[in-house]
Amino acid sequence: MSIFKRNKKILSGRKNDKDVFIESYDQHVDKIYRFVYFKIGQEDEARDLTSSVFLKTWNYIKEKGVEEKGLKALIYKIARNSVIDHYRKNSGKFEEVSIDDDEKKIEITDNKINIEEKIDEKIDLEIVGKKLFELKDEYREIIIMRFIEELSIGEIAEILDKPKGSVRVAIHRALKTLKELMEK
Amino acid sequence: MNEKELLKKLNNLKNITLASDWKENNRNILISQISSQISEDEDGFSLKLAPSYFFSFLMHPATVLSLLAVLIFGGGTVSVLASRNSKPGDSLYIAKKISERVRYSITFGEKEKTKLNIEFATNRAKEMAQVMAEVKPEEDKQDAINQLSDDFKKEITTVKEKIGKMSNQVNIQSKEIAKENLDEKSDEIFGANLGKDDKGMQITPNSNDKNEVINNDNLNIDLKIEKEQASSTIEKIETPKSIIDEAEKLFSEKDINSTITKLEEVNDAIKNSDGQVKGESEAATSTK
Repeated sequence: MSIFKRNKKILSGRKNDKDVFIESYDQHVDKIYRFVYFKIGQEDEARDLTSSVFLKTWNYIKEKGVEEKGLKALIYKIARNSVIDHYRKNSGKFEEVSIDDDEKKIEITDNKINIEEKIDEKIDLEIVGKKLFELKDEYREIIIMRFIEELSIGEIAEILDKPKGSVRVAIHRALKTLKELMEK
Repeated sequence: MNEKELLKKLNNLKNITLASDWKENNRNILISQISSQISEDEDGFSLKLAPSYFFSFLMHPATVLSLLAVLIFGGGTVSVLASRNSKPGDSLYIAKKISERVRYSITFGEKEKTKLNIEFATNRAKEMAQVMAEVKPEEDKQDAINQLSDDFKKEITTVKEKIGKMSNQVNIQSKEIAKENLDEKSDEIFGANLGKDDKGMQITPNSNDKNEVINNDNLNIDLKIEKEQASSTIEKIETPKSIIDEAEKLFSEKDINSTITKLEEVNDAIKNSDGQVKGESEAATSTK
């Protein structure tokens, strides 16, 4: 972050930044939940982690400050690190993630879709969801960010601390692998 | 399944959302947590002259070299500003530690050194908060956290030792003052009796005894008051000791904000006890 670039709103955890932050909570809480959920496959844990991600983000902003436009990427970065910590803490006792367990079936909460479509879609989603969990972590992560949350290549590169070119290659490979899994 | 269909299915996973009431509850909790932090920050006087991202810019390796030149040629002010917000792992952290040690070595007097130890312990607590808030996996932060914990404990142990010494010193001083006053009062009684004898006044043994009893009673009351004053002074030195224990406990529980508040209380308590001891010594001297 260069301090010489002007006209950039910096959030630093002051009173005025609260509204911007809460607005970003409203915009991203579902996305972060999905991101975490598809990484760990457990609803309760995903909810707890999602909750802690936003508080950690606020604490980070207070300590370091962040450009308003970089807030989204920061939230994802913190979510990603929280998932890594979660894996480390639970290493050894972590179960194989499976989305087709009865208790872990995907709940669709969009009421606008009619029942028939909803059932078809749910079946599709469960299949895609299941296959998604068969992908290696790196590919799953990149598929979630690019095709579910529709982050730009630049945003993904920033979150993963990788060049855009590497991200493009990884997306291509991840999608190819998922397609092969779906055809099995 | 072609790519388009696959992408459509993936995109449909967006329909997985959190329950509205959970989002609302969590939103309220988040707002209350944020608001309490903001009010704590704005109640206290902030020494931040520039946003912290400015200092993180200063901590980039590329700027360190040029800053080192300023550190060497430009005096201490810039170095202190630049390294103030540094934490373990930052290039300027060593400058901060050196600056602390230099300040410590050129400070004289137990009380002033104790205040510095408290300030350094507060710095360690603040750095701990910074490290804990970093966007890094926990394992990567563990070394810095352990180092800061050790440093914090060292400072706190030194503060405790110094407070113990100060407490003993006040105890001895108060006893000496009480003893001096006792000797002085005995001399006065003895002198008064001598004066009376010189003037050839005849006092019956009974009335003499009575006067002596009255004088002894007054003396006992005076001594009692002095004893109480001494013990109240010792209590004032004891108070920081108990606050520092609380601060240590809070730090071990990783409650950094409360730890910092407690350390500020210790500093205030030491300042107050300093004034109190000084005042009482002066009062004792003026009665002589």
